[in-house]
Amino acid sequence: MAIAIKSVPILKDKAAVSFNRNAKASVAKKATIKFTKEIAASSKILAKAQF
Amino acid sequence: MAFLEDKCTLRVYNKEVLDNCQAFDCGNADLNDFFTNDVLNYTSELLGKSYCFTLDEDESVVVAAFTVANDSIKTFILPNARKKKVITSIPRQKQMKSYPAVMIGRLGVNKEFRKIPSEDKSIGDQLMDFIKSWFVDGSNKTGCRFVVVDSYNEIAPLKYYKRNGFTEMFSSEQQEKEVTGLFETAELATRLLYFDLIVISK
Repeated sequence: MAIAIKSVPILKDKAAVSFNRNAKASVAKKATIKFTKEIAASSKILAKAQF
Repeated sequence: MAFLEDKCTLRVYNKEVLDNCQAFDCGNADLNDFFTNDVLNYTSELLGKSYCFTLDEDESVVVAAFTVANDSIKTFILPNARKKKVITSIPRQKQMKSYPAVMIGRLGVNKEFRKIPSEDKSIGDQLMDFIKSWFVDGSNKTGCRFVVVDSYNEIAPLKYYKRNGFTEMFSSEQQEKEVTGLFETAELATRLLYFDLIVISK
């Protein structure tokens, strides 16, 4: 059997502080990576998808 | 995303795919095992849902496959000054946060399609662009701030995720072992990484 998929543990102490700090810093960088082309391609893939 | 967009079709990775497609070989025994023997159980137990891209000119060829599941990242901080008072049951303010996330449980690219000379981006990078786009798409039914992955703790997959903007969730293997309850001497088979979707512009 393949390795079990690990879920994310609750982050505490230093790990939590660091993660929250990075999450807050990312808010300041909101929408700075232009993904218009990729999202358009993704829409085409989903329109063509066979679900 | 040209190759996946123009020459492949996205499908649910189900029994029909398993029965009708050639065996998926991404060059990793554990991933191949998952997509051959475990994938249907994961789906039926609602632990994750798997998808694949099949080649349009030969639908029996699986070009790439991945498994996603709902997850969350929870943080819990007890301010230092309050830590000493925990045992006295004095009411204290805890800082708890929970961020919605999607977990990439498994991801693999058919070893015959990893790099196509005519493509600007590798199939793996195209696949990651698709997954990120899918979860910021307006038609997505739920909110999702982060993409999380539990990557094999090996050079190539870690390099792949970092190239695609992922950051390690823990600053060191030691810290990850402590938080996940592993002994210091135990081998860390996988590492958690995340990507913050908030930076993406639609």
